[in-house]
Parts: sequence; C-alpha cells; structure tokens
Amino acid sequence: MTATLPQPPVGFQDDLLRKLSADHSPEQQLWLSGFLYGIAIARHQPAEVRTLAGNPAAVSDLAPMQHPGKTTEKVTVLFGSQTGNSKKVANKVAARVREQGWEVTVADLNDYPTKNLKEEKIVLLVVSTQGEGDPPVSAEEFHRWLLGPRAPKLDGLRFAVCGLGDKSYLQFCQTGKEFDARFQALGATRLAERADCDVDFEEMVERWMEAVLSSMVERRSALSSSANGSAAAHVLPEQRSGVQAQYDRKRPFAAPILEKIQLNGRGSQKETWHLELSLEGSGLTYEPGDSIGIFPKNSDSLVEEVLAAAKLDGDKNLIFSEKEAPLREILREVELSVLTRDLLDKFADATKNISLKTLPNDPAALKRFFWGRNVADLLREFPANLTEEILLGFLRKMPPRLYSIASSLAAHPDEAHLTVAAVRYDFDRRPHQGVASTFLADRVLAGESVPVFIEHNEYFKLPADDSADIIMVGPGTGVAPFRAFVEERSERGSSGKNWLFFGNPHFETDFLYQTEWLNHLKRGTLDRLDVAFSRDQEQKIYVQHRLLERSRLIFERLENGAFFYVCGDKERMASDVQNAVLQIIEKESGCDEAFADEYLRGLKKQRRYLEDVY
Amino acid sequence: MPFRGTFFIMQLETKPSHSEVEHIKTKSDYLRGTLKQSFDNPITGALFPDDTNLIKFHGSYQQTDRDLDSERKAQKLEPLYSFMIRVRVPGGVATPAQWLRMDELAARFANGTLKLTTRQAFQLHGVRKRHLRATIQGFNEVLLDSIAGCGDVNRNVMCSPNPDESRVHAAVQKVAEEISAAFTPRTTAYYEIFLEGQPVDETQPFQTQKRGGQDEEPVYGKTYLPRKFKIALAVPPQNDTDIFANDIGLIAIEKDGELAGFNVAAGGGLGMTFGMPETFPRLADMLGHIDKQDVVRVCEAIITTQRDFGNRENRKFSRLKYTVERMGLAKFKHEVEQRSGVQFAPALPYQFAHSGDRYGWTKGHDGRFHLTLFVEGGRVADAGDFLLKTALREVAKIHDGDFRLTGNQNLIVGNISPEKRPAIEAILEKYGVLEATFRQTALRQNSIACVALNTCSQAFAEAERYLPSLIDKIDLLIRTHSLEKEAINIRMTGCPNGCGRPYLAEIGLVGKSPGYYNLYLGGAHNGERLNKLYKEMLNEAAILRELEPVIAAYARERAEGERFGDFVIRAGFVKETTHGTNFHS
Repeated sequence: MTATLPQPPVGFQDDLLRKLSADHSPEQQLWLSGFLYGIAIARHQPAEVRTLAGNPAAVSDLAPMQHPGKTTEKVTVLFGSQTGNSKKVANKVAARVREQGWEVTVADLNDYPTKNLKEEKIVLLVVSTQGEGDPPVSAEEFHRWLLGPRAPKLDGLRFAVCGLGDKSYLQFCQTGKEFDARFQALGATRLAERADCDVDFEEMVERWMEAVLSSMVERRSALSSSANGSAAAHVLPEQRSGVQAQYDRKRPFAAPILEKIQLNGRGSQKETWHLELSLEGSGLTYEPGDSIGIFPKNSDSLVEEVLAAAKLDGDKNLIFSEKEAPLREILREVELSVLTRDLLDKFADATKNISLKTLPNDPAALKRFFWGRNVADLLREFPANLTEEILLGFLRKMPPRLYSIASSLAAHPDEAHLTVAAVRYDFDRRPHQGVASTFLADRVLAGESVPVFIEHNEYFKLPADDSADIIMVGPGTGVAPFRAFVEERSERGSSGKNWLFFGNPHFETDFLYQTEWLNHLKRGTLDRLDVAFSRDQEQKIYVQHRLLERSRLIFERLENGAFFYVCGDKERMASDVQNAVLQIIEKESGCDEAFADEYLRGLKKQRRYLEDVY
Repeated sequence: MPFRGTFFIMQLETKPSHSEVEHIKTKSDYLRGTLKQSFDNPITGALFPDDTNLIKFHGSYQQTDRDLDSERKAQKLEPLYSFMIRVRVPGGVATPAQWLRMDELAARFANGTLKLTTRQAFQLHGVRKRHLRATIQGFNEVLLDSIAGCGDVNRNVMCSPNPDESRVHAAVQKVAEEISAAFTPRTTAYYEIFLEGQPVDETQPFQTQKRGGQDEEPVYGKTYLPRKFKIALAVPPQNDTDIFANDIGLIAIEKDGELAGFNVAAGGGLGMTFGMPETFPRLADMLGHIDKQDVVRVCEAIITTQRDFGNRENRKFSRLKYTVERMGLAKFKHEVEQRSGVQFAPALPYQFAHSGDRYGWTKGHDGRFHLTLFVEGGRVADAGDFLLKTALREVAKIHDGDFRLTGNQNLIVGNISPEKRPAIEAILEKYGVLEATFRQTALRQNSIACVALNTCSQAFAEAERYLPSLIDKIDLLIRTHSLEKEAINIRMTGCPNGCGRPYLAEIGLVGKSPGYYNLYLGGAHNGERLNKLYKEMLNEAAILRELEPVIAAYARERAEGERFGDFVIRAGFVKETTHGTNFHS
C-alpha cells in the first residue's frame, strides 16, 4: 500500500509525509495542501499565535498557529463506555475540538438528560458495543429512548458517531451503527462518516476526528468567514507526546514470567494457569480491575496448517506491517484462530469465491459457522488459488487479548498476575486452540517474556469508600479481578466487608486460589465465601443458586450501599446472575418486578452493579 | 455377683495435665463435637481440627493424598482430603448382600477398591467429606456400621473365621458378636450425625438402641477409654487372629467338641515410637481360664480397669500394656477379679500351630465348602488384567453362603453349598483368582502389608504399594534355595505403630523413611514370640543383601519342621525376645 514519494526537502519527517499521503483520499490531500498553506501564511500574523495545549512536540516541530476564531456553536461529546475506552476517546475528541475554539461539553450517556438532545447543535458520539451487539450498560437507557418512539425530531442537529468494537464479534460496532442510522432517521445531518473501530482503535479514531473537524471547520468557515480573515483551518495528526507512559499498546513491554502454575488439580477437565509477570522497570502501574493486554503468537502447527491449506511457501520473504520477513514468520503474528465477517468479506472479494455466497447471511447462522473454525478450516473448506499477497491481504495483524489482572500492586509490587483458562477443543476432528491462552500455557516458559501493556478499566473499580461492602461474583477465571480486589482491600485495611461467590465444576480440582481464600477468611479480609461446584452432585448448582440462598443478606448489604461485581462468562452466567439479583430484590423488598428492574437500573446508574464480562 | 463394672464408674473430670484429646472428648457431648458443622462447611474438604479426633470414634480417619500434598500446595489448593472408613465386621463374617453393597460403595464414593484389614474389617479409602453420610447410610442399609471402628473404644472384635473345624467355631463367633454388641458405644451421636432421616430396620438391635434414647455410656463414661482397645478370639490350633497382639486375647478351650471356656490373656499391643525405648511392642500376659458365661463380664472388668487406671496424660503410654506394666500383673489381675467377681482358674493347655491362613478348599461338618483365597495386601481391586473385584462381585451375586475376612487380609468364600460350588469355581477360574492364590510362594501367601502411603498420615515409607515388588525379588532367593513351600511370615508396615503386626513376623520390615526399613527377625510362626531388630535403615539392595545369607543358611541348616523364626534364633542371627520389655535389648 506504500505510494512512492518524491524525495522530500531536507528536514522533513519522512514518516509524517508517508502517513499523510497514505492515509488520505486525494480530496483530503488537496485540502491538506491548502491547510498547510494557511499555516505558512499564519506565521506572519503573530497576534493570533497560540499553542497547542498538551502537545509540546507539535509546537516545536510546527509553527504556532492562528486561532481560528470563536463561534457560538456548542459541541457536546457524548460517550457510552463499558471499559473506559469510549470515555478516553471522548475526552481526547473534546480536547481537540476545544483547541479549535469551540465550547465543548463532555457527558456520559449514563448521566445525560435525554430532554437536552433536541437543543443540541453538534453532537459527537463515541460508543462501544458489547458482546452480541448490545450497548454498554451506561448507554442502555439512552439507547432505548433514542431508538424508541419518544425520540424527538433532530432537524437542527449535526452529528458524527465513532463506534468502538471488536471484529472478532459478529455484531461488530452494532451500537454505533444503530445510533448513526437513528440520528439520520430523526433528521440530523451527518458531519462525517461513522467510524467502526476494531480493538486497535487509535488510528481510525484519528482519521475520524480529522474528518469531523474538517467538516465542522468548513461549516464554520462558511458561517464566519466575514468575521475572520483566515480561510485556513487546521487539523493535525496527533503526535505522540513525551509525557505518556513509556510502554503502551503500540510499544508493549516485554514482561518476564516469574512464575507459571497450573491451578487445577489432577483429573480436572479444566486447565487454568496462574502467571506472575514482572513489570519491574517498565513504569507500568495499574489498579485492581484493570486488564493486561497480551500479544500472543500463533502455534507453529496452526501456521503450518494454514500454509498447507493455502498451498504457499512459508519461506518466501514478504513485507507486512512495514516489516520484511518470511511468510511463516509473518503468519505467527497475524490473527489466524478466529474468523470475522470482515475477514470473510475480504476473502470472498480477493478470491472471487462463489461458494462463499452459499454461506448464511444472518448473524446467528454466521455465528454458528464461525464457531470453532479458524483460518485453516476456512481455507480447507473453500479452496482458492492464493498468492502470498492475497493471503496477507485479508488477514489482520494479531490483535492483543485482554486479561483481567488478578493481583494488587500493593500486595505484589512490580508484578501483575493473570488467571488464564487454556482454550482447547476439537473441530472437524482436528485439535484447535485459543491463541493467547495456549500461547501462555504452552509456548512461553517461566523466565521468558511476553509483550504486554496495561488497559485501564474506567469503571470496574473498588469503591472509593473503603468502608463500603462489596459482593463479588466470579466463577471460573472470573475470579481473577476479585483476587486483586481482596488483596488490595486487605493491604489497605479496608473496613468494608468482602463477600465472594465462586463456582467451577469440581471442588477438589477446580477451586481456584482455594488456600488463599481460606487464609483471607481466617484473617477476616474475606468476610464470606460461598461456593457452587456444579458437577459435584446430580443437579448442577451455579453461583446464581447460591446468591438466591443468601437472598436476605445480599439485599441487606445492597440497601446498606454495597457494591456488586460480576466477572466472567457473559453469554450465560452474567444474565443468570442478573436475573437472580432481580429475584432477590423483588423477594426481599416485597415489591413487584417493575420495582426490581428500577432498583437494579439505579444500581447500575450509580455504578454499584458492575460487570466485567466476556 | 457383688461387683459389677458399672459400680466402679468414676466420671473423671478432665485434668489440665490430660492430653489434648482428653479435653476434646470431654467437651464433645458424647462424640458430637461440631461434626455436623464440619460436614456442612463447603469451602474445605477437611473437618474442624477437634472433629478430626472425634470422627475416629465413628470409624473414620481424615487423610490426605500424600502423593499430591506438595503439588497441590503449589497449585494453591488445600491437600486432597478424604476419609478412610473402617466398617466393622465382628468376626469378619459378612453376607453376600453386604459384600455387594461394599463393592458398590467402593466404586461410587471411594477409590474403587476395598481393603480387607488385619482386623477383619472393610476399609474404604478416598471418600470425600460430602459423601461420608451417603456412604455410611449405604452400608447401614445392609446392617453394617462403622461406629467404634477407630477411636478410644473397643474396636472390631476379631474371631477365627474358619467355619469348618467344629461347632466350636460357631459358638466362638457368637461370643465375638456378644462382646462386640456389649462394648459398642451407646451414644446416639452416630445415628444423629450420619443416619438422620434414614429408614432403619427395627430388627437391628444397634439402631433401635440409638433412637431417641438418653446418652449415657455405662461402660466407658463420657471420656471413653484412654486409648484404643482391641479384643480377639482364637480357636487353637489356629492363631490366625494373632490374639497376643491384643488388649484382650481369648483362647477358646473346647471340651467334648463343645466350647467350654476361655484362657484370657491381657495387655498385648504392638505400637511403639522410634527413638523412645520406653515404648515397645508387648504380647498379652495370661491371666487364666474362665467359663464361657463369664467372658463379657471379665472383658468389661478389664476395660473399666483400663478406663480408670490408664494413662490419660501421654497417649504414647496409654495402651493397656503400659497400665499392666505399671500396676504389675498380679495387682492388675486382682483388680479385674474384684471388678468382675470372677476368679481366674489356671490356664488350660492349648497349642497354636500357626498364625496364617490355609488356602484352598475345605469341607465343613455340614457338607458345605469353604474356599480360602489369597488377597495380596488385602486389596480387592480390578488392577490391570487381574479383575479380583469383579470376580468376587460375580460370586457374591450367586453365593448363598457368606464371606469371611481373615485377620491376615485374606478372604474365605464360606459355606458354599455343593450345588453352587461348580458355578463359583467357574467364575474364579475365569478371572484367574484361584491361580493367583496357588501359584504364589508360601512366603508371599504369608505376607501382610498395611496401607501406608499414600493415604495414611503416619507412614514414613511405602508398604502395601511396595511389598509385592520386594517379594518378587525375595522370591528369587526363595526359589534359588527351593523354599517355595516354606511358610514364612513376612510383614511390612510404613511406620512403627504396628497395624500390620510386623513385630510378630518372622521377617518384619518397618518403614523409617522413604525407601528405608528396619529389618526384624525371629518372630514365632504361631504368633507367640516377638521378633528382634536385626539391621537398621536398609534400602532394597541392603534388604536383599542381608536376607540372602539368612535364607541360604535356613535352606541349608534347618531342622525337620523348623520354622524360619525359630531357626534365626538358634543360628544366632538374633537374640530371642522373651517379653516386650526386652524387645529393644
């Protein structure tokens, strides 16, 4: 995809030019040329000089710019966030827009009064999509209202939507798409095309911001050209500033594995690994509730399977992601173990494979098709004449996998612990693996390093008030953040009561961190521990059953301000737990279902019912 | 009858100097403790610490899988706790229905195997806490129980299981059952804790007593005995219950083909502690002869004497044997006579020929057949190609007689009717069970091994899992010297506590540390003489190296009919042990 650039004059940043030319349409490039011209002119108008807040690098590299002028139009940046990414993006967008002289308000959809919407002039919405196309909890109400019959006409509104999502899910960026379509249907004008960002969202967010800003600026310029002599607007690609943490998603830290322990006893059907990573010297810090991102590598066997199915030569040198390496090497670091609709579309386009058209189109059926299949399966089922370039054309760089951190820095300085369930299954009579879990289980040893970064979770956090009680529901590896919670509260000497619900198939082999919990109980740093071992008796017992057995006390504690946390499986567990909590509220309050719904909604709005589910 | 045991009951308050276990018993409310809460606690497979002492009285030990202890610790898992349950079978006689139920419970709740113990009980191993009740209810339904299987009470009463000899055997078995019933604890705790809500067969005396009654222990009192208590009965010439190893040994004396009375021996016990020469194995001393109708009364007097005079401060010196040593035999005997109102007559003559089992078929006076099978280590299992457990299950399904557990961990398929014999024989042929008995050297046929690792918490070294392979190697020496037919008792235990009665063996091996054993020689073949330490801390190579010349000498120099245990003394390999007090010298 690299265009050949003319030799630039001395002193130019080659990368920057390459980026500007590569990432933009011809129209955008033309616009940029005008923009740069405007800047050059502006240098001679010192009265208008301002600096770019928070962007000292830009100041030194580029000349101070002209203030584009004031406008009366207000901008509202709304976000619906689950893990905090949308909030992060929203704040960034707001800062950028504010730099341009707009008056900007940032609001969480959780707290945004719906009646305000019809008064808005410009709304920039950043929203993530959860699991199978659901909005984040904090945006549920707003989403229901906007898509429902009570939504007002929005003729006077201009908007843009930035969706965050994960391409490995079928309903990729579904919530963003729904908001985008609905705004338009209600009569609002789109400022810029919607962005559907994958887990590596930074670059696409940049492009979206540029498009939005330029559209806003054009509009404003038209409105206020008489008041302001400058015809130029400015949008700059964000420069990395030196004040950020040294290591992040773009530059992961090679964290040495200090210890690696299989937590399941002999004879277990489960395989859960406890890993202790060293963060020493990285400057990385985290809080309980945060996640760690891992960049895994594919197994040799999967790479060879793909090469065989594609009938390609693994030794051939190619360029991928700006690096030259043999195909075999490259394939270790691209996504091979999960299929996405995006990949399927690109595959179909690239190979003109007609039989792919026979694939179901509705999401549920497609999901069934994706289940268990990897790229090797796809290539075997739909043989195509491939070149190395075509193959790499529809594959994407390996996205990182996130794991909730299982430790507290206060208890384990300079360490981050993980609880990882190794995913292994047979499909089409071939062994298949989850890429990151088996990377950690099989392909790295204690003493070796893994590339990591910290992913902060905005909301899944301990109560600020140490005297607040917490109730934690974490079956399986969902227990990970609660190990961090209990360690942290133990270190802090928090007076609030910690109550854990844990479940897994068998008591003898699958009681993750059992001896630690028993110690916490003995010391009083765990107040209660209720366990559900589903397969130890005829009828299966799960955490939700244990919750119902403790109905009275749970309600008492909720009434007393307790925080309720759920971590683990989204598909079944999280909704079963939520239903149990609704039943508990209904039963113990003596009120009806509607009251319970309202009560739970209240808990969620207060961020006292928090989920970290996957 | 001026003196009855109950007359002497002293409800002793526990003194501060008493051992921890005494305090636990005292406050246990007749063995209840917090066992119910322990069972209802789902976050650990263990009991609360005090309850681990109390559950012994109900026939169970809390154990861990020691093979996995350190591995699980690293995995942040508690030890793999499980329970051994010792099911009482007075005299070792079980019905086919009882056998089938134990077979089923072993598969459902335990490790899939049954252990036939050296005291004629069934043991289940590896039962999880949450399955304890269901397991106990399971055998309660076929009228078996585990109360007093362990603990500081009278345990399973042993009796010579050979049904073929004479009517005397049947009469002695009846006495064994009477003694067992008389000294079963009366507390209703067992019923309350394990059997609540269970339908109970009202015809079963034990259960009917347990219902709703007041708690009182007329014999034991609420602190029970200072230590475990064991009673065994034997019918000469067989000493297959090793009666001298017991607190009370009863030797049946017959007159004109009928049971007349018993010679009573008391103060036997084998346990000792390494490094404490003041602890020692000891054989029971002869007190004298009594009539058969006095036997329960005399046993009660011995039990209450031990109850009141036994050491409750240091459990290492609590067994009756130390009480007898401390009181002196004369004073002890006098106390028993006082309490029972029975005077001991001089012991009547008897002769024990051996302490082992006689394998193969015999025919009883009523025309029924009995088949004694060798069960290595007492372990009834399906292991590899040898499906012993399956074979015995199939036998039990058609068998109309009984199963008799011997004191040597073996099994008698007893009272087989002539009509059933061909079918039973065919099953045992099919599974190679008969061949597994008869192809062995007499050495192996006379072997005993305690459970030891991986479940027994006392074990320093392997026993049951290791002895078979050691005998493979000793067998080579035996065959080299053509001694295949010489019955030599060989017994291995994983610790010095003596469950496998190693100090009565002609070749005794007692575990000191993993892979290392003390070698004892010179026990009497008929169980009437303790052996003597020959060499210490031997590994396998050293055991074989030390045994080789002794076996060679025995093959070369033994007199006609001379037993290995006698020979090693005559040949000067070890000094004779004449009494427990000179065991160490």
